[in-house]
Amino acid sequence: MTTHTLDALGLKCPQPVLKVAIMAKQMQPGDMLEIMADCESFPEDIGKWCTTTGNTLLFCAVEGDGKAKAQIQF
Amino acid sequence: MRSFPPPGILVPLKECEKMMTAIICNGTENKNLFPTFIMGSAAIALGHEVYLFFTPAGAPALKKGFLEQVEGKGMPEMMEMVNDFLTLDGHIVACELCMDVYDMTEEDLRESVEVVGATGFLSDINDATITFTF
Repeated sequence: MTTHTLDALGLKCPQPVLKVAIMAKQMQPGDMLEIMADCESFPEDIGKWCTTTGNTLLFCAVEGDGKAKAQIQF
Repeated sequence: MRSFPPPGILVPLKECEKMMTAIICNGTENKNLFPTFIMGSAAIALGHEVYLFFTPAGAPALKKGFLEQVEGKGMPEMMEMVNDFLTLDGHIVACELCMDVYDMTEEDLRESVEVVGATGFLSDINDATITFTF
């Protein structure tokens, strides 16, 4: 099990989720991906992406400065 | 008659048949190109098979070097989105009629573009459940 990180700060919708989808191709079952993003729709988008693709969103927290941190388990 | 999967058995979404989205781009302005690539990228990120079809009115945007010039305030970076779309095996197709309309050859188009006829395209997107036109 490996933990990967993705810095999607500054990227506009739908790019953060697009980057997640690209990284997902190299993930092994059990791998974690931590994402930082500040696109406004990201918290909702990543939740729906996980539901649709069958991956687990462990958490997604928006900090005071509008930056969201999410963690997905594959 | 037996059904598959048997009733009550949940099939993980990952194993379901791939969804397909087809998007028609009908112009070369930002209002045509951004929604085409934004919706196309979102669909491919969700695991859909995605076809972006450029009609003769939209096809000049597929000439080499055109998309590199496209930018919009508050919009995602166009070329990064195009490259990510292609990384996930998205299809960018141009209507074959545009070749004569604009005296273009396939050499004038980006390398990633497939040139197709209307019948071939309709056959390719036969399973599309989501379509947009921009």
